[in-house]
Amino acid sequence: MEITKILVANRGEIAVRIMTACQEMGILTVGVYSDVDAKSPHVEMADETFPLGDPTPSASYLNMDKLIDIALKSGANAIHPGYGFLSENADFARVCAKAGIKFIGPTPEVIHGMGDKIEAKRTMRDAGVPVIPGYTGEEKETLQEACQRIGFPVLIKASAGGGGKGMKIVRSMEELDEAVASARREAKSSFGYDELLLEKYLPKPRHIEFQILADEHGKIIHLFERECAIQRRHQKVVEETPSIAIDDELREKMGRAAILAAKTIDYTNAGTVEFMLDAERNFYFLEMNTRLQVEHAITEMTTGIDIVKWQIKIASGEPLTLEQEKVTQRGHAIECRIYAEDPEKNFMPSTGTLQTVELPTGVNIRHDTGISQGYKISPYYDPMMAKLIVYGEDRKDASRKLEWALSNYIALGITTNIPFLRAIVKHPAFVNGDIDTHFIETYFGSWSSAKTLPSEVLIAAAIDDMKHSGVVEGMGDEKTEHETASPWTTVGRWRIDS
Amino acid sequence: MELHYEHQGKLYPVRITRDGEAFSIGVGDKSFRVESKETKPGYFALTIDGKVTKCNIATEGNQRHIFINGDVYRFNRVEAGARPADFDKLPSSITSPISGKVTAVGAVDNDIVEAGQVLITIEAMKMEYQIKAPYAGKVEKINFKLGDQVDIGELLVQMEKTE
Repeated sequence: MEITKILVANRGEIAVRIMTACQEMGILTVGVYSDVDAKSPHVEMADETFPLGDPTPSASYLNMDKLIDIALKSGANAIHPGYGFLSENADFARVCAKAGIKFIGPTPEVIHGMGDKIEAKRTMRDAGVPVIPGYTGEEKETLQEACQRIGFPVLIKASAGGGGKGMKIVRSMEELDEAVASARREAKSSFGYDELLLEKYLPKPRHIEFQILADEHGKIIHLFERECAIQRRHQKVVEETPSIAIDDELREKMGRAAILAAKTIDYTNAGTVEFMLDAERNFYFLEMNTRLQVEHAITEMTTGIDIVKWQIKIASGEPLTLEQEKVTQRGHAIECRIYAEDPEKNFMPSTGTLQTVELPTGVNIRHDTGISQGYKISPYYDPMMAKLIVYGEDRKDASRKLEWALSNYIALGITTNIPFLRAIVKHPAFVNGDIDTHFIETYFGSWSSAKTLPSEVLIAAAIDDMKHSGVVEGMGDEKTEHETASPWTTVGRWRIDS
Repeated sequence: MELHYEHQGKLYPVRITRDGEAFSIGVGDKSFRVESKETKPGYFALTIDGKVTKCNIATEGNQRHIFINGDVYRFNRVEAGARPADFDKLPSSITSPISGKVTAVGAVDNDIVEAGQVLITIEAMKMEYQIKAPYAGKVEKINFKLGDQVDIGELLVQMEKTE
């Protein structure tokens, strides 16, 4: 089936990213937007746009009826869900198919199968993919017996989980009952479903995931790994590839396991197989993400392969022409996520208007964003503003470039995590590659930039304020072409904010 | 002229005077000779005692956002005569630190509450934020109800501290 017009059922940077790929391929794009996103870059970029109204996610970007209706109305014959929102919703994939619209992603059955974390592990274990010792509910034993078999510490997770909700670490039998009760409550309130699973808790695990591409004719390849060790509350903050924790031998072994995982479930399109790697180089299947990942860009930088374009080609039935042996990694790429949040106030999301934004540009610096100057950040959606991705000859080169880029990333008006990211990138443990998923809580438990105002800052403020106070004559004499209505000529010194 | 800035409860008086094409600026007991060039609105190249520093300024009412050497500083311009004590004083009004939707209200008007008691829960960007009583006292008025949309800076709760 030839894909001629794609509805991008998403917003922000990923909508822009997908539309760029469509435009390069000569495919028309349909953009959707809620009321608060009407002036977003993804709306400007789309060939056609349709409003979703009420910004509440369930009424807008999660509203299947509205999206299908728009797809049919606009004549889009495919939908790209991006990540988040409906990207891992099997029902949505099913509804698309019923409406005769190609869902760009795997089949509803695969999404459903991998969405159930217990089911996914069982499937993988049976297929011979290493899975972490745990309890999935089917073992004929009590939680106490399971803990004894697995050995403490044990991690409790919600089977429908994600984002760290419902997760608890139990270090002894005495702590078990209370932790189970609390995890059930959180799981119930977050997912409406309180089934739990247990697994062995790894003290210093590294998070290594493999990017997969699988066409609809049975061919599967991997595009190597990404390491996502720097996480906060199980949300990734900094990702890089290649991982310095694995060598070629282990890389090949893990790559084969990832392909086996995908083959086992007849996976199609782009996907990611996540593994945990312990200090003894044992790796365990964690879960499979049946969609495009936020951090896909670092793989694109080191392999030169455009993953989104391949998603579209695969969805239109094209065979995968890439050969595993010919796919190579070169250099080193690091991504960090720029969030509108205040690291000094418990990472509380910040809202407001982006008054000034000046991005670092240079060789091998990629910036994926869905916002621009004057953009108002609303409280409705994920606070990720942009992704900054750099590529270097090696890890050291890439880290230095990232530090430079973060130091030259001007974003005023909204509090961002940029200073926090700079501190991470400069930290000796990061520099040495001594990273695990507890990196942030270990080194940045109560991080604060705690600074007094340097003289330069006060000098700058004073000069700016004096210039605008009207006291000093002969400064900033803007010549204006405007006639009488100009504020420059009518009210003398005038400021937007005053 | 003398200008005053406040950052994290600390006051910074700055004296500034014209000195020909340049400025003479006093910060604390130090004094600097500064040349300034505004390359485009908000973008400054400052030559401070011969050393060039580039910075970027955005202004929002009394708030100043300055980007300099990779760091962002956010602080306020205040009136002459403001005292640091004014900034430490226990606030009787609690304003919203965030924009979002009220998902729970934990007290009603005239309630006596303990320090740390959750007064209002606001959901923003898929996360919940609890607004707690900063001290033990009486809730005079809660301005929002369940389901309301709250904007950053809006007055949430009026409180009176128990003496």
